[in-house]
Amino acid sequence: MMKRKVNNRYTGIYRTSDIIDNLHIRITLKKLYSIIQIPKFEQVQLGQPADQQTTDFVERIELRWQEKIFSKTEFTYYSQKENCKSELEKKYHQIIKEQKEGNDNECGLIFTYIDDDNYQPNDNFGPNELKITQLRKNVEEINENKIDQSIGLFANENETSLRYAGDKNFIKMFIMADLDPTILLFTIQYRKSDGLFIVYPDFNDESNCYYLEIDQNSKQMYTYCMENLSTTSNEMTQKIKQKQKLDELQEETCELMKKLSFSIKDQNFNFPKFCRIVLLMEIESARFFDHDNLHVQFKFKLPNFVRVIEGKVEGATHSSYKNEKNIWNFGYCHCLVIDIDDEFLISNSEMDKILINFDVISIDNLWQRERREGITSIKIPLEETSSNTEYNLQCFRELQGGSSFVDFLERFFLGGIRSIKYNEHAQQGAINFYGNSTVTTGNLKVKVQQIRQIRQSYRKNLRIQSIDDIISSYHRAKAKLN
Amino acid sequence: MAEIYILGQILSAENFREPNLFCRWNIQAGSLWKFIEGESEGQTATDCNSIDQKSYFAHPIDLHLATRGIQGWPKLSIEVFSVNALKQFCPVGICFTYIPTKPGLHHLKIATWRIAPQTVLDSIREKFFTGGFTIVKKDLIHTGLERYKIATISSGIVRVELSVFFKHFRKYNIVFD
Repeated sequence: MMKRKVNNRYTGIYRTSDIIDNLHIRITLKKLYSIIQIPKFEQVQLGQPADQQTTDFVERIELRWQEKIFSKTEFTYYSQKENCKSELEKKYHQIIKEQKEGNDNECGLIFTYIDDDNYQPNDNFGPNELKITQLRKNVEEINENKIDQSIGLFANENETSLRYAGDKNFIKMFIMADLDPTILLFTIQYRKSDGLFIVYPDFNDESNCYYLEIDQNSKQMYTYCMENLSTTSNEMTQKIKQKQKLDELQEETCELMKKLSFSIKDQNFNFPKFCRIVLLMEIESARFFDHDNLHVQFKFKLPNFVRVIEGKVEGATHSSYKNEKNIWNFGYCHCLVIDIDDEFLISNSEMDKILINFDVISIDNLWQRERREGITSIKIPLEETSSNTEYNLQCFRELQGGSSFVDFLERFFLGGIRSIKYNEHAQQGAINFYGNSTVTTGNLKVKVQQIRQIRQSYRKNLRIQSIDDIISSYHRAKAKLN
Repeated sequence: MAEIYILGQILSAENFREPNLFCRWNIQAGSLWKFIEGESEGQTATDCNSIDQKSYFAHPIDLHLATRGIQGWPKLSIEVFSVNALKQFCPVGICFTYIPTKPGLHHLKIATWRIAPQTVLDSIREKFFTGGFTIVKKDLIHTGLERYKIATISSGIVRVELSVFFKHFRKYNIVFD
């Protein structure tokens, strides 16, 4: 025989726009041993045994929507593979198997029946004695105060709850207590179409528990409660949205960062060991030369302490025929990357300059004879970046045969004879190196730009100026070593 | 990473014999460079104005580059095309120039050239049928020691206005002036 004493319990009917998966509840089941803790204990039993447990047994469990918790019977039943024939049973068997592997074999008093279990409680949903109660008043209060009602009380009438009891559109979840006999603690129903959420008995807390008295062989007292731990309002949805936005922002930021940097490894800027100079030379145009079909050969003459990193030290432009304005356009770009040890640089020294020699050559269309049209050169200082980047170079060539007439005949019939080596004519200290006559020819327009990357420990100030400096720096170094 | 912002425009093409000109342009840079934002290549509208042998484009260039080295400095390459009455176009000018290495506004005057016909027959063909010749292997016009074997005819000039901004270059010990 079983007797249950039921306190005032009400059905909570809510309407929520939030997703049901956000439901988070905590169930507390407490067994009472001490009568003092039972305010409405009616059947006090005198002469209780001395060894009676005075500490209350408490079981707390946090649940999500449609979270399956097995009872002891279920756990034993579904553990046997032979018992599991349907898909659901197999699924439960697999879950229990995993739980066993994880050494989670304990079954408490609280367990659940979810919608898939098709559990039908003996009594109808909601007690018959449902009344309009305080909860309804709460609704009115909420309406009056215009409190956020994303999960709010909707109604609390017996007829209403009964009306919903047989609705098959509801997804159900039952929270049970594995007592003797099994007790249905809470029933939760949710209808997705309109967000109707019904819970019986309604949410409460430990200060306002529901009481359960089971009077079988001995009287047992229990209290239980269900606390709503779900984040109220649309906070959860907002959090999810915020997280999504943050993720999107993070992705965008990552993409931008990827664009800005090739990779983590490549983020390091190239720091050369020595001073690095990039020489960008453009041979733009030529004018006032005698013959057509010109091209320009050039050669860089570098100091000994300069090392070529990239680019060629000599080259040639394409051949060009003049246009209507008697200008030969080349528009030729050449790049040379060099490394220099700037400790060796001495101010205003001829040694610290890069010499570029140009040789303007024309090719005869008929006999393919080459004629020198002019030679010229420029010196690019290594020490400092020159503010002047554009050069209009005046060219000259040797006068063949020593006279203009002979020169004309020789050039017309034989072509040019390159008696001067174009990479030697501007050597230091060579004044009329070959002892011959020259004649001014055309102009060559050249543009030279420099970019310098000085090394990190730029030691311009420590540049060696004299023998005394060398000796003193040697002593300093030796002292450091000691 | 050091960065460069290139803002400017292709202003005009001058001293070209052919009317109805348009330009195709692109900016090339070395492997250490990366294009962050903006178009690295483009094409201007066709300008039919041939008064004083000037064609105006006012075509914008807006580019953001990043680099981890000074090698492979960016280079502006422009090809000038002429459109005939049959809406056929042929190249009439090719030119290159380095992007200025100093910050600020720069007015560039870039000399152009085009491939010269090798034979008389080619000249006739160029004049009456196909228009100007182009190079199939484009890498030839960028490199090559024996480049003088490419015969070209000087064409007009292209005016370009570029504003160059540098960022973080000083941080990497790069000196411009």
